[in-house]
Formats: sequence, structure tokens, C-alpha cells
Amino acid sequence: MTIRLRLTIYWAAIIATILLIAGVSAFLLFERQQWGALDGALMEEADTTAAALSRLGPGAVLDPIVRRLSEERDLGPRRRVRIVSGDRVIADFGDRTSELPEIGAGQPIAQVRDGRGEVFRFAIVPFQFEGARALFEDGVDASAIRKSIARLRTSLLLILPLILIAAVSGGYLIAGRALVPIIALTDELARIEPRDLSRRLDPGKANDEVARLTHAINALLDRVERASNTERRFAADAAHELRTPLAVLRTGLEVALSRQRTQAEYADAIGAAFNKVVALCAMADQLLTLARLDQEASLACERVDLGALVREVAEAVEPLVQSKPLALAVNATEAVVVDGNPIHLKRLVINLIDNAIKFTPAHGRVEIDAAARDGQAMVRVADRGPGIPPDDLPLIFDRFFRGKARGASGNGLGLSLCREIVRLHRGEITAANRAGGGCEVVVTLPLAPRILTKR
Amino acid sequence: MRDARLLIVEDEADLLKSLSRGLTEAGFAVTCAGSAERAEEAIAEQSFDIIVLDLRLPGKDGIDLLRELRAAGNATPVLLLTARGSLDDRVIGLDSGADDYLTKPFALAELLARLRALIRRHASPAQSTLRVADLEFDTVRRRASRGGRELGLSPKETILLELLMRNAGQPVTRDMIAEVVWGSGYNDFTNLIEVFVNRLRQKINDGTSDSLIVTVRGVGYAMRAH
Repeated sequence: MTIRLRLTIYWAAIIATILLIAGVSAFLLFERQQWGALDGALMEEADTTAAALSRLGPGAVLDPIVRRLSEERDLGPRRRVRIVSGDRVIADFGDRTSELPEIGAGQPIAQVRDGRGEVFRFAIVPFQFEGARALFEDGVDASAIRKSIARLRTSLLLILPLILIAAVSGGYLIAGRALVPIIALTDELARIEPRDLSRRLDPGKANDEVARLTHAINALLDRVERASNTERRFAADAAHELRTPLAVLRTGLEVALSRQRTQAEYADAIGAAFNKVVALCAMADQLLTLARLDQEASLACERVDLGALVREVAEAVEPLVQSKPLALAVNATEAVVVDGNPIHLKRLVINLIDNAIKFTPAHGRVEIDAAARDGQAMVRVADRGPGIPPDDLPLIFDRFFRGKARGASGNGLGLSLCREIVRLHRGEITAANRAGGGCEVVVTLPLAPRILTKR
Repeated sequence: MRDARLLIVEDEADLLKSLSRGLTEAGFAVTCAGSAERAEEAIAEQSFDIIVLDLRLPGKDGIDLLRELRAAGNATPVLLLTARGSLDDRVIGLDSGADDYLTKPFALAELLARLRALIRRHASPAQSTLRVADLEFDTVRRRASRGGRELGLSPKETILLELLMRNAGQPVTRDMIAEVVWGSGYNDFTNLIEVFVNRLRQKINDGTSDSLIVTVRGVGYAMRAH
């Protein structure tokens, strides 16, 4: 069901309810007001007459009363007055052809009732007449009031549906108009191709909800375009990085197979091919890890003490430190607890320390700190190696970037893995050259909330 | 010792073929199964010393097969092959009774070393003292000595020595060493394992020239046979 239709149905239901309540109350109010005036006058007159009748002595003549009633016709054009005692009709004046009131069983009380044919209206007043209980029935032709009430009912029944139809059609038109920009937006969106994400929607001049929606969609398109470009560049880079060793592999094997060779030559060619394949496997593994990190929007998190992690890795590398030898200064005494994935964070710390040890010459010094500072968890790995050429600094976290000054080892994925891990933990990673030589990498991550921090 | 009977369950025909060939040449009596159903038939026909099981199989899953084997009281050691290498697969595998796992792609040498270690662990009774030449390791007191002279080994060096001695005569891969000594994640550490093994080697060789730990190129390290 379209929004337009749904809005119209809601609107129709609301309008119909309002009209029904308004119509019914107006009708009831009018009816009560009409009858109230007549009933009051009728009852008052009947009361007065009955009181006069009850004061009459035995054998009194009823004529004066009859005359008075027939002369005073201000209540209506036709009257009928009866005096009834039990089953006996004592008197019956006025229009004798009119219908009679319907009187319920039991002790009658003063009341106003409709006639049997619903034309006349009677005031019925019990009183004492000649020592017995009697009823004074004073009726008047009320067809004028009945007619006006019926007229009102007819008009309401005619007019209210017309109002309803008009209101609902108006609502349908307005809902349609309100949705025009949305439909335009839909058409515009449908024209955006995944191959060309540079198109943006026109937010128009108005500063309304649709403009806000358009801005939000444009911002989303910005992000999608950026992600798609990164993805495309990554795929291209990966293909290039894979093609080079594959070409070497292919040529090597092709040459080996091109003619009969000695056992040693075969062994040589296969050995070289094997080494290339091992390197390719390692790269595929890291690419897979990167891809997986990319997909992960959030992590399976637990409390991880970066201080303990740094101490653990520093202890594990102790054989390396001794053999090179290096001076390793570890400053990680406090607990630095973050919410994170222990496997990823371990990989991060290992990668950073591995890099530092790899690039620091013998007798150099590597510093590793882990601390909570300014509400942030901080891990700093600093070395006294050759440092990073200033031109390379902005690039070292890019995928497949290999600094020329730092030797050819590695496939350029290690630090970009680090950056992905840090990004997933909503942290930051920066690299800088140190005064006096060497470089330092600083990772900051949000600290875990204090309450649960284990000391 | 007779050839170990090995069942390999793998749906990729090419991989099955090359693995089967490599394992046969390495001295295993290999039975191949392309699906869990075929594997069940093979297990019903004969008993195996070890099973190599691919986690993801068409039809019935490797995990289901493993669970059923364990539920039926079959304690044959099982090495799982996982394609994804995601942590979840590993946890599932070890929870359902696998003894070890390898992530594809893997080196044949890695598979061989792990299979031999598994078979050995399964077959040999727990010995209180391991011996290689004049090198002795007391597994209860966790002390190592050579020619009666005690070697002062650190706890991590002791773990490495025990791993090598339990698999004496067979290569132990770098990944196995990293996992046992430091836990996962350290196998990528540049030079760490080489340096660490060298240090142990020097401590063992101290004063003698007879090197008991040999380097197996492209694979890892091995303790000489008894």
C-alpha cells in the first residue's frame, strides 16, 4: 500500500470520526432544545389546570376549563384534553380524532409522553378528582417540531457525507503533493549507477525534511564513493602485487619445462618456484586478514590489558634483544585496559615491536611504553633506526607501500594491518621521526570504562 | 614400525590427489574419501591411526562427521583442515574433538610434522624420562641434563626442548614451535624462532661439539633420533 493511500485512509478515518461526533451532538442538542421548550410549557399548563380541577367541588361544571383551554391555543393549533379516572373517561375535549398517549403500567407520575401515532405530545399529571385518583392528559399537536427535527436529520445525513468526500479528496491531493519531491528523489536515485558514483542529488532551495533527506543521502553517497574508490585501488594494487611474482613464477617454470634438464636444474627451478609460492601464500593470508578487518563493523570485544600485552610481547622477544644485541626499554607497569579484540591487539603490538627491532641496528635502543594518558590508552614504540624519509611519512600506513630506505623486506601490508586494527578499535595511529634519529609510532585507543577496570 | 594408516577426507579433487601422493611418499598408508559419507564407509571397513578432515564438505559437514565419531567413542586423532582460518572455525573444531588444525593453504611439511606429532602423542605411553643420546629430560621434575650435567634452561626453553624431544627424529615446524612456546601470533616475528632455537642449541651443546638439534631447511627443526 502506498504512503499516499495510507495517509488518505488515516485522514478519512479522522475526519469521519470528527464529523460523526459533531453531527450527532448538534442533532441531539437541537432535538433536546426543541422538545424542552414545548415540554416545559405543556407541563406547566397541565399542572396549573390539574391543580384548579382538584379544587372543584362535586358536581362542578367543567365547561369553564374547557373554554379556557380551547381559547388559549398558544401551544399549538390542535389540542386534546382528557380527564380519566381508572377506566372511566370523565371528560374529553378538543380534537377527538387525535391519538392518545401511551401510559405505562403502575402508579402514574407527572410526565411528558408522545402520542401513539407520534404526532401529539401529552403532559400527564395525576391529581385528586371528586375524592378519587384521576389523570389529567393535556395534549398538543407537535408535528411542527417533529418536522423541523426530521429536516435537520435529513440535512445532516446529506451534507456530512459530502463534507467527508470533499475532505478526503483534498487529503488525497495534499498527500500526493507532499510526496512529489520524494518520488522525484526516487527517480533521481534510480539513475545513479554503481559504476559512476560521482552523481549527487539536488537538494533544492527549501530547507525542509526532503532537503535534509537529500543531504543525508548525498553524505552516504560520498562515503560509498570513497569506500568504492579505496576498494578499486586496493583491488588494482593487489592484482599488480600478485601479478609480478606470478609472472616470475610462470617464466621460471616455463623455462624449466622448455627442454630436458639435469636433476639439479629441476630442483633449482622447483625450489625457486616453491619460495615464490610461499611468499604468495603469506600475502594472500594477509590480504584475507585485511579484507576481513574491512568487513568487520564491530568487534567481538573483551577487556584487554595493553600493559600486560606489551610486557608479554617484550618478554617473548628477549632472545632477539640479546642476540642482536639491543637495549630494550619497556615502560608498561600500569594496567591499561581497553575494550578490544585480544587477537587483533596482539597482532598490532607484535607488528609494531617486530618493525622496531627489525629496523634498529645492533646496539641500538628500542623504547616501548604503554600508559593511560589524558583518558586514552597509549602505546608508543620508538626506535633509533634510520627513521622514515619525510616524503614517505604520510604513506607508510597505505597498503603495499614499501619504503625504499627501509630495505625491501615485507610486502607492505604490515602497517596497513595495524592501521585497520586501530581503526576498528576507534583509535588513532601516527608515525613521526624523532629528534636525534629514528622514528616512533604512537597508538591511542579509547580506555575501557573505569568501573570495571581491574587493577 | 608399520606404515601409519591415514584417512584423508577432502572434497577438492586436486588437493586430495596431491596430498594423497605426498602422504604416501612420506610413508603413510593413505585412504582417500571425497565426502563425509565416503569417509563413514571407510571408517566402518577398517580402523585408522589418524584422520585428516576438511571442515567444509558438500553434503554432510566435517564438523558433523567429527562429532558423530566422537559420540560413537572413536578416539582416532583428527587433524582439521580449515579454509577460512577464522577463529570461529578453530574454536568449533577444537570444541568438537579435533586434536589439531591447519589453515589452508598450508605446507605439506607442516602437515606431515603435525600428523607425526599427533600419532606419536597418541601411541606412545607417557614416559617420565625422555632420552636422546646423552641428553635426558625428566618430564615430572622438568629438568634437562646432558651427560649428567644439569642444563640451566628457562621455562620457555624447557617447553621447546620437550617438544623437540617428544618428536625426536622428526621435524617440528616453526608454527608448531611458536604456538607451543608463546601462543599464536608469534610465528610471523622476524628471526624470533631462529634466535630462540639457536640459544637452546648452544645451551645443550655447551662444551661438546655434538649438535643434537638440526635445522630442517624450509620446515623447522628436529631433534636427532634416539
